[in-house]
Parts: sequence; C-alpha cells; structure tokens
Amino acid sequence: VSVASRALRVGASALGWAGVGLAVALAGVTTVPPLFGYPVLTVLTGSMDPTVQVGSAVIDGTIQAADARPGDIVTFPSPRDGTKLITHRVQRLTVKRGRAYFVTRGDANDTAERWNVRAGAEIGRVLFVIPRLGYARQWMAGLPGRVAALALVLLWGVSIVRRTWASAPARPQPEART
Amino acid sequence: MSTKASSWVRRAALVAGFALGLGYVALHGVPAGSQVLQARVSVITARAADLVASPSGPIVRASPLRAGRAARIRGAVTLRNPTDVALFVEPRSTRRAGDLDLPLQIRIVAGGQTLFDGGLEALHAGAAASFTIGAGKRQRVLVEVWLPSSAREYESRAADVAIEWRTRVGR
Repeated sequence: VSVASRALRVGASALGWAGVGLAVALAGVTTVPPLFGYPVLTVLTGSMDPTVQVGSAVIDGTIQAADARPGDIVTFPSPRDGTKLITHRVQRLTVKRGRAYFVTRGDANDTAERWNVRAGAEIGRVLFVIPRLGYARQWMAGLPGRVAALALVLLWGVSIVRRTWASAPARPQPEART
Repeated sequence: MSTKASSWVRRAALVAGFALGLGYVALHGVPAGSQVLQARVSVITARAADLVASPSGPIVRASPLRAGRAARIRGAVTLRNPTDVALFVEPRSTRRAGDLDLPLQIRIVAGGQTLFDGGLEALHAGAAASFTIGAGKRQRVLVEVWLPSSAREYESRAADVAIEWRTRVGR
C-alpha cells in the first residue's frame, strides 16, 4: 500500500471520526440540557425570523416572569391556546399587584400579544438558538430517526463483537500421542 | 504512518468534531435583554368629604422613577376648606401600592411643616401628623416620592398611591 493511499485512508477515517464527534456533541446538546431543567424546543414558524429561523432548536433557561427584560426572547404558553408555546421578544413589561403584564411580539410579526402571569411564575428565556438543529431533532424523534439510531447501535455492537472475535487467541491443538 | 499514530489521529478528530459541535452552539448564544426598567408611580388624591382638592386627579406622575433621593419626583395639591369651621387634616394612603410598598418613600409638607417622611407602609398605617386649615382657607401641600438608593427589585414595577385627607373639626 502506497504512502499516499494510506494517508488518504487515515484522512478519510479522521474525517469520519470528526463527523461522529460533531454528531455526538449536537445530539448531546439537544438531549442533555432538558435533564438539568433547560428545555430544548424546535421552532415551527417564522414569526421570529431572521433571529430565530424555522427549524432552529432553542435552549431555554428558566426565569421568574418579573425578571424578564425588554429585548429578552421568552417562551410562554399562548394567550389564546394554552397548550401551545410561543417564543417571542419582550417589548414591554409592567409588574403590578403581583402580576407581570407583558407585551411581546415576534420580530417578523406586525402585531403584538398582551398576556399576564403571576410575577413569580416561571417562564422560559432563550439562551441559545441553533439553526437547523431543530430539523435534525425532529427527524431523530420520528420513526426514520429511531430506525437509523438503532441501526447505528447495532452496527457498533457488531463491529465490537467482530473485533473481539478476531483478536481472541487461537486455541492450542492437542498434542498427538504416540 | 504507524497504527499507533493513526489511532491518535482518530481520537484527535473525534475530539475536534465534538469541540466543533459545542463551538457551533456557543456561537449562537442569545444575549439577555439589557434594558434597565424604571418604576412607574402615580400619586392621586382621594376625594375628601369636607375639602376641595385641586387638581382632583394625579398630583405626581413618574415614569420612569429611578432609585435615589436625587431622582425624587414632586407634585402639589391645593386643599380648600369650604366649611365655616377650621379642620384638622391628616394625610393617609388609602390603598397599598402593591409591589412598591416596601421601597417607596414619601414626604408630605404643608405650610413649611413636614407632616410625613417615611415609607408608604407607615403612611398607610396612619403615621402622618395633621395640620389645620382655617374656615374658608386653602393650603398648598407638597408631595415628594422617591425610591431609596438601596432599593432593589423595583424595576418594571408600577404603583398607584392614593392619598386621602382625613378631616375632623378643629377647636
């Protein structure tokens, strides 16, 4: 095997391992923070475009409503439909008689929404916006992603078994008696 | 390249890829809103049974109100006694201001006499001195409101303070 082709093989292998490292880091970023109280959400609409594009993943921290500031991007239950979460920018905040009154608006929206919560209620504040990672996250959460993850784990397991098998010492042959 | 060297290359590539992923995330941090919010305070005179207050609406309106006595806001109200007897008048806050109850400081002066200088809670509890307005006379009352420099957690808070003028017939 020539030096050039060996170098090429090592380079390709390095690139592959770098890809694995990158994938592990990004997978970790979307799966580990929720374990420590930092929810990761996928952005489904363009209301915060271009700051937060569709398909981005956002990592939220938790703050008390009264601690929000204009300019913060916060995540809160929709005032119209409490089951949906909205991630918009705080325009105005007033705390009065124990309640925090918000005016928020998506950067790409023309209209603002007004809502209020207890001043001590917890809401999300966006800490990181990772473009396109939300798409990958959604794909991973779907059936194709799960199948792919299972296939990867199986392949990894098979390769370990094969290596272990190949490196096992050959059993010595019994000596023939005369 | 030896097997050992290529093994190190693989490890380095794995770490580099991992670092690249974390760096990609770190580059997309969202800064917190840095705008400092001031408090909003308004002081109104509640209607007094025996006195005529002018103006009848807000006498002090501050938006924004910053901490520190130097940033105090002032207003004045003129009280007229339309009755034919002298009246003792005692200022008192009728309702609690809510979120600014503890830090909000208020000073009320009438005719050069300081009737009250302290926290809003004390004014609500009735700690102010009284003054006299003669029959058919009027008295200008100054009201100052401020937040002490040591006040914390007043940002974005809003408070409406209502001062009523309790009267009783003087002798």
